[in-house]
Amino acid sequence: MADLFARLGDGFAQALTPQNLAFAFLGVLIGTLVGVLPGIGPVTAISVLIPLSFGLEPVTGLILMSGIYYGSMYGGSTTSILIRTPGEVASVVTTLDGYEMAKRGRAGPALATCAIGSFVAGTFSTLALMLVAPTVASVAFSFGAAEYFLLMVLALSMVSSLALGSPLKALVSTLLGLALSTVGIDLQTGVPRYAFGIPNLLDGVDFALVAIALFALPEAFANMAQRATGRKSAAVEKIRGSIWMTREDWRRSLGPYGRGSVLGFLIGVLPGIGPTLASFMSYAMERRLSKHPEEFGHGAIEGVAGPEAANNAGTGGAMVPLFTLGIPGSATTALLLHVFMMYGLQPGPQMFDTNPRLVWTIIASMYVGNVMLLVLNLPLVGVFASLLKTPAIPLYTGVTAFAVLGAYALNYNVFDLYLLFGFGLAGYAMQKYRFPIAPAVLALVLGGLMEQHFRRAVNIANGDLTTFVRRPISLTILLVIVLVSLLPLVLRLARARVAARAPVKR
Amino acid sequence: MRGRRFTADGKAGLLLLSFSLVYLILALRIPASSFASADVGPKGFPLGIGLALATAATALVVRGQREPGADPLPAIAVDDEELPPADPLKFGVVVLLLLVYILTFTALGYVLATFLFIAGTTTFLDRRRLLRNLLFGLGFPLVVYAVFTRLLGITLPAGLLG
Repeated sequence: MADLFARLGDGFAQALTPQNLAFAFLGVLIGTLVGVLPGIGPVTAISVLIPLSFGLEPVTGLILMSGIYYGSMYGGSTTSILIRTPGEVASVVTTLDGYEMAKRGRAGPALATCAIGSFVAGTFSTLALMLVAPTVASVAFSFGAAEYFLLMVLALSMVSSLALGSPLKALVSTLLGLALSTVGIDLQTGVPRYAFGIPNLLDGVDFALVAIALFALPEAFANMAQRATGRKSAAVEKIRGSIWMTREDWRRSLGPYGRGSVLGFLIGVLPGIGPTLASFMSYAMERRLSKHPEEFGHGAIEGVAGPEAANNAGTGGAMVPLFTLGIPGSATTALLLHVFMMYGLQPGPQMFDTNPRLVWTIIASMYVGNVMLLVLNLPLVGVFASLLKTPAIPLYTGVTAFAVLGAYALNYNVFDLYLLFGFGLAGYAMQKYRFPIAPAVLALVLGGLMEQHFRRAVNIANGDLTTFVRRPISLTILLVIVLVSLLPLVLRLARARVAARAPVKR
Repeated sequence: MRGRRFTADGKAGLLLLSFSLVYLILALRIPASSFASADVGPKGFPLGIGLALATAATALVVRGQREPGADPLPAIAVDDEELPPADPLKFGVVVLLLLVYILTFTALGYVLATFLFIAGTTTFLDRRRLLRNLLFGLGFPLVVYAVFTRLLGITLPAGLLG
C-alpha cells in the first residue's frame, strides 16, 4: 500500500510538471470543446487529433490524448441538456431529464450536477483503477497465448452482444474488421495477404486511418448533404437563473453520485458498451429507488446525476483492461492503445513493472484532469453552450479537412488519402444500413494480436486445438464467452421492459 | 417503412455474402507457409473469418426476406448511428469535392488545396455567406499549416506556394 502511494506520488510529481500540466489542460479543453460540438464524439476527436501527439514525448502525448478522451465524455452532457442532442451514446439518458430541467428553467443546476457528478465519479473511478489495476495485472501474468486469444474473443463477443440494435449486424461488423486486419504481410511467415501487389498495403491498413474514415467522414457527409440547409436543431435552452444547485438538489444528487460511480466503474470494465450500459442501468436504478418515480422524465435531478456519474466512472473502468491486459474494450480505448503502440509501448501486465512511471503519471494526470474539468466547466458552461450555435456547414467542412489532414500526417502518404476516401464511403454505407462502426474498429485493432496469440497457442500445443479447453483459465473464459453470446436473448427481454417504461426520444 | 428496411438488410446481406466469397477465394490462394512447423498457416485465420462472415451474411439475407414486422427485437429507441437523410445531389457533389481535394493535395500544396476545398464546399452548400466562407477557407489552412509545420514539426506539402 505504501508502495502504491509512493508510486502515485512519483506519478503526481511527473504529472505536475508545467509541460504535462499544460498538455493535460489542453487535452481536457479540446475534449470539452469537441464534446460540445454536435456530432463529434470522443472517437472522432481522438482519431483526427492523433497527429498532435506525434512530436511529443510518450507521457505527454498520452496525457493529451487521455485528456481529450475524458474531456469529451464530459462535454457530451452539455448538448444533451441544452438541445436534447447527446454528444455521444453514453449521454443519451441525460437528455431525458436534463432537457426537461432546462425547459423548466433549471438548466444551470442540471449542468452543475453533471459537472459535479462527473467529477465525483471520475475521481472515484481513477481511485478504483489505481487499486484494481495492479491486482489484475498480477493475475494476468499467468496468462498464456491461449488465454489472451480467448480474452480478445470475449471482448469482441461482448461488443457484438451488448451493441445497441441488431447483434447480427454487430457480428458482421466485427468480422469485417477482422477481415481487414488480415491485410498485409503475415508476421509469422512473411507471406503477403490481400495486398494485391500494392506496396502500401504490405504493412496492413493503418488502424487510425480506418477510425478517422469510419467515424468522422460519414457524420460529416451526412450533415453537409442534409436536405434542408441549416436544419434548425431543437432550440438551445437558455441558462436562466442561478447555475448553482440548491440544498435540495444536493440532497437528491448525492445518492445517485455514489451509486452511479460504483455501477459505472464495474460495468465500464466490461468491453463493449460499458459506459452506455452503465448510464442506462443507473437511470433505471435511480427510478426504482426513488420515492417519487413519477418525476422521472419530467426533470428529476436524480435522472441526470446518476447516469452522468455512471457514464464518467465508466471511462475509468474502461482503462482497467487497457492498462492491465492491453485489451481495449471500446473504439476510444482502442485508439489510446494505438497511441501507446505508436510510441513503441505495449500496455499489459508488464507495463506496471517495466514502465511504472508512465502508468502512474497517466493515472495522476487523470486526477489533475478531473479537477481541471470541474474548474473549467462550472464557470464556462455558458461559453461552451454558445458553441452549440456553430453553423453546421463550416463545422463539418472543417471536420472533413481535419480528417484528411489527420490521415495524411499518419504516414505522409497520399495513398492513405485514397484509403480514407474509400473507407469513408464504406463507413457511410455501414451507418446508412445500421451496421455499428465500433465493433469493426475494435476488431481491426485486436485482429492481428488475436491471430498471433491463436497460432502461438496452437503451436505450443503441437497443433492440438483442445489446448483451449484443457487449461483451466482458458476453459473458464470460454464458458464466459458462451454465456455472453447468449446474452442478446436475455437482454432483448430486459430491454423490452425498460423500453416500455422509458421511451427515449430523440 | 419497416418493409423497406428489411429488404435493405437482405440486400446488404447479399453484398456481404459476395464479399465473403471473394475473400474466401483469395484466402485459398494465399501461398502456403514455408515453415513446416507452423500448425496454423497464414491461410487459417482468413478462412475462418471468411466462413463466419459468409454464415452471418446468409443469416442476414434469410432475415431480410422475412415478413416485415416479424422482427422480435423491439428497437430500443437509441439510434445513435442513425444519419440524417441526405440529398443525393449534395452528397454526390460533396464526395466529388473531397475526391478533388485529395487528388490535388500534394500537387497544389496543403494551403491552396485546402482553401479551394473549404471555400468551394461551403460556398456550394451555402451561397449566401460568401465572405464568411472565403475567410474560413483562408484562415483554416493558414493556421493549421503554421501550427503543424512550426509547432508540431509535421511537414505538409508546400506545393505551388512552396
